[in-house]
Amino acid sequence: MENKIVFDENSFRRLEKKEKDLGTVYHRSFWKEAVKEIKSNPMAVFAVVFLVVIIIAVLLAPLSPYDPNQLNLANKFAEPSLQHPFGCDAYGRDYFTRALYGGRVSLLVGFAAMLVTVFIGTTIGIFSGYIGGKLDMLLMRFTDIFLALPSMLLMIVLNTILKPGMTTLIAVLSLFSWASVARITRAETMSLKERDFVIAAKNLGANSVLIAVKHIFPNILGSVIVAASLGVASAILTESSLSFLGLGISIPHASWGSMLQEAQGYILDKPIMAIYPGLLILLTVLSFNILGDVLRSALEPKIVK
Amino acid sequence: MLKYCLKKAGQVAIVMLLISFFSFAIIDLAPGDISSMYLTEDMSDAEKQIVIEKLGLDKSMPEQYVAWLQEALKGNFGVSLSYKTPVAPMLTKRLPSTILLMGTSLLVSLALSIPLGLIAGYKKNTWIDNIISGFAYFGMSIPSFYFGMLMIILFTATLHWLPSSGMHTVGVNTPSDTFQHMIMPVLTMALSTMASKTRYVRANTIGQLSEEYVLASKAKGCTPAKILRKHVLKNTLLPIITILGMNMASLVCGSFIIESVFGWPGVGSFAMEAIGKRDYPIIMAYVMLSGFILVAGNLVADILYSFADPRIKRGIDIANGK
Amino acid sequence: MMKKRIFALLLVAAMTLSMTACNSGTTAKDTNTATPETTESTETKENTETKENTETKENTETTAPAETTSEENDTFTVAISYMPDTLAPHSGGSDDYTSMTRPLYDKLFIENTTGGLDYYLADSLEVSDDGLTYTIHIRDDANWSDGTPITTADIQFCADYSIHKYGYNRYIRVNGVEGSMNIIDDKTIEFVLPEPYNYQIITLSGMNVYPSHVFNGDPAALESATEYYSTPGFVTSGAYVVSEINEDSFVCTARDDYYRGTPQVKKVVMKVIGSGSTKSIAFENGEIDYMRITTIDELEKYEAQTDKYNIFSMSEARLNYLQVNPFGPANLNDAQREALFYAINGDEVIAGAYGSEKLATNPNSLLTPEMSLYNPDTPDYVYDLDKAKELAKSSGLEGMTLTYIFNKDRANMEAVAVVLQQQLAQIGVTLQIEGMDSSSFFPRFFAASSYNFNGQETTWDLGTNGWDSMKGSTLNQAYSYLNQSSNAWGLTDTCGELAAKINTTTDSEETQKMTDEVIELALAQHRIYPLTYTNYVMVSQKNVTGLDCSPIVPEFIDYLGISVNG
Repeated sequence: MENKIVFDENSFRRLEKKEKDLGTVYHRSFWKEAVKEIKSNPMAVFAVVFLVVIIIAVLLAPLSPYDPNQLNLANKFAEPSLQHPFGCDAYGRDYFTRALYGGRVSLLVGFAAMLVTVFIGTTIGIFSGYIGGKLDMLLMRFTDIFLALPSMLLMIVLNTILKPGMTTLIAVLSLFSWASVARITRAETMSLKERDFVIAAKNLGANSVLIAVKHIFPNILGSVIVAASLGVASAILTESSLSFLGLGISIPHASWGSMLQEAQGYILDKPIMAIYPGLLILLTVLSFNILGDVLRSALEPKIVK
Repeated sequence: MLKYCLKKAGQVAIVMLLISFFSFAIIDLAPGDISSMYLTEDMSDAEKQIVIEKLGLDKSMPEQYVAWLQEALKGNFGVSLSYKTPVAPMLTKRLPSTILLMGTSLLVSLALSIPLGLIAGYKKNTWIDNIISGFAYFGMSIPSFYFGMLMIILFTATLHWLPSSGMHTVGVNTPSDTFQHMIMPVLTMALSTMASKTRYVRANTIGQLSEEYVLASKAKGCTPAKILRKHVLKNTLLPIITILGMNMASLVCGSFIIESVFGWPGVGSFAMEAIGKRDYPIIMAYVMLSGFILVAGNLVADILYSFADPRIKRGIDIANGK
Repeated sequence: MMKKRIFALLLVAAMTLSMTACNSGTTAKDTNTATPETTESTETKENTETKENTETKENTETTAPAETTSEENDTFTVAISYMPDTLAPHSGGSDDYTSMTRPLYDKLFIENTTGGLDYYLADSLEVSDDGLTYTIHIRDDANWSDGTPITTADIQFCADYSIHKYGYNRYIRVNGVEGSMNIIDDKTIEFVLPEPYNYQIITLSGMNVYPSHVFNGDPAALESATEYYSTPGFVTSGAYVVSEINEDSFVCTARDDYYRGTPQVKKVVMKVIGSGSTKSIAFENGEIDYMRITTIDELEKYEAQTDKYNIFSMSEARLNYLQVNPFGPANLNDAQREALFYAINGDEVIAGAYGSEKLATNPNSLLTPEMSLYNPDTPDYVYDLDKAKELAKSSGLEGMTLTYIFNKDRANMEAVAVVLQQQLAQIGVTLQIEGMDSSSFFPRFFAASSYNFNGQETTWDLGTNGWDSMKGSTLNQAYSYLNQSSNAWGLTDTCGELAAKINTTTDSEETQKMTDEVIELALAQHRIYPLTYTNYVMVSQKNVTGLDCSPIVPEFIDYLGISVNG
């Protein structure tokens, strides 16, 4: 009679949530993971170090002994030396100092435009994708219009029409980039909301905002972070294109893009002038891309080793 | 499904209407008096009045807009300020060269990014992945005009292999000549768009490979190649479709800078020039044209997307009351 | 490949044939009669040119049958910034367009930079002693590319076109009053003005001559002739006809019945070249035959390679200047403007923005040395930083922020802005600089004078602009500047009165005296600061010669002097 089933009061007790079990799946420290992930990837270490160095250097730009805009024709196209690590430009201005001040503009424009872009894009994307129906249709038509606009063309046109400056750049950049973020987050939200766990949550009676914030947002966070990393990158890139076309910040101030524009006039004979700002753009954008990617694999619940 | 497509087409019409309003608003936003561009110094006041009335500038903005839209629907986008000739034929004349450039870059970037992305995703964190990812990172991090400049310096100024700009050598009209002229602009354009696509395919491949169906097919004894081709590819094409729709934008607009850098005689460099000259009729027509290409691209992407992902199709059918 | 080669051979053969044919009798006579009334300096130029002509032609003759001489050796390739939609003579306006159509259309005559006239379609211009009657005689052999002679009927057609377009005949109108135009015979025409008007010579030299017979004398047909002027083979008056139009280029082929002789360059290819440094790369790659250079670095680089390149320099007959806007938001007073001008170091502007006197020189007047009324003794503004600082402080200029606009399409103007910004910073003035392209610059800069105060005249304080084609015997562009009825530039009425008087005076001594007076008067008001006289410097491939044979900008008024067989 060993197999006899015994019903005692324990058999009818409500099952308690087992904290430990759930914790192994979802309860992870995001930042710990991120640090671990970065440490394990030499490229990511490089990216972080580079960005930290660049940001500190750019913040400390006023410590440079040179005025970035002061002409000194005696130093025209001076070769790189101890006094002038990057040499001097066509007006004899210290190129290193100009690169630092240029970095301030490029980075500030990149960050600000990314923040505005991601905030607007994600909010509209989730909202639209989750709620669906008429509102989704309206919002998506609105998004479609922005996607359907030839953004580069309009950015150029708007920049020529509006008073040039940093605020204009940031506003124009984010005005034409939030739509793609909204599209991606909406598509993911739509796909997610048909998944069983969302349907289950819905059936359990969770309200929409809760589902959107608790269930959908964490699952698209990866995409949002990828979008944000792309956002900084593309903002810096677009800014450089606009500056290249002469539509950026006004002289004597510079961004890396406008330094490139100036340098391209001498590119055959003084290629080094184009190399510095070009490399700075390339490496900074590259670092943001790598960082975004690494964070993504650290944060995304699906990619658990 | 047909109903869905029709509905989408209807939405396209509404979007186009709004784009038309946008492009018309550009003129209104422009500083200064538009009429001053049509007037010359030596006109008398009466003559100026006649010009203003002829242009309809004495009417209100909505009236002007309706009049412009009516003409635009007939394919008449007015007369260029700088060329003094109708805008529409000038654009259509230059469209084929842009489409040639765009189409080729699209194909090149697709043909490269999908296999590269799949391999990188499958061989995640190996040296192959590192090379491909590094390449993709490079492609998306370098400003396209800068890359174009570097290419010209390398292939034209230093190696003398390729012509620096244009579409034909004057007096030569062979496909191989055009092909030579196309290499640099196509590569420049393809590089920036393929980088993002490769990344998306790679990220998605990694995501898909951790799905259970992959485990199941592995257990079934499928070869890795078959898994990639039969299962993963299908699922990774999903984001590619959305991106393609959006890529239309970067293709249409990217052709701008690249056409200008390489002196490619397409609509992009033409519009760029029109912006420089403040030739508003051309700018408006170009905004309409590229808007149309993008909306059409998005429409196709939407429809393809719903075919590719049954989950979305189900969502649509439910929404349609099926 | 084979087909192409055969075709090329045939072409070369045909060309040599036609060349020898017209070489035999016509060239010698043609070059002699080419400029019968030209001034001394140009005559000598013509002579040397003729020598070159015969020499190089012999060359081609001997080498051409040897089959290695492809058509390339007779081709001159020019970079253009955009592809025009039509090549009609009247659809231009920009310097680029003028330059593109130079091989196709000849003017009646043009003022050269040494005070005389170079004749093209016309062979004489006579002005009556009272300065009222201008008589033009068209060359007897002047003809259209379809063989039809160019006659006074074509001039009549130009007048008709002017009436069709503007409502009046602009070639006989002075201050709103029309005179009369009398056709004497097929080749002679008379313009009678209501009052003396020295500026008339500029009006006439700017006339586009249209082929009346092509449009049956109907100006409306000319205005809508887009299709006609975008199809190869349309009728031209210049040394070339268009033989091919592509998406990004067009080809001009030399006429063999051109009235001034047969050009040595058989083909001129106008090709769109991409933006920025692409042009210099295309040049160094041999894809184009010449380009303009605007920086000392380029100049030194190409000068150092004399075995590969030729450098041509000519005065651009341009005055670049800084304007203080009398309607500007800062509303600068006399003392403030004076302080501003004391702070400008003209030599440093040249050194910083141009780098060498070879590219630009420091001007002293509102007129250029290419003008016969120019006086080298006109006193220039003096640079005195201490005085400037002192005045800036006492006048309240110190600490002010001024808006400065410039035209980005013009060479070196951005560099000038950068230098001025730093110079004015030394007296505590901040310049807010806005660079823009021509189409947005002009409506703002000329808001008060040409655009009826369109509201943009109050958006800037300082601006740079340039007057081009500053040559000849009149006040040229300075006239309309000084004589601005709307007070657009803030000068006193006396300036305008004097300028108007100069324009109607026929006595040359009197004119010179009044000119000196008005220029000094205008400069004393500290409204306009002459910044630079610029040179037009070009670099070409080694085999190209004669680019400066007729030193007039936009280039090249005379294609007959250009050779690619150097």
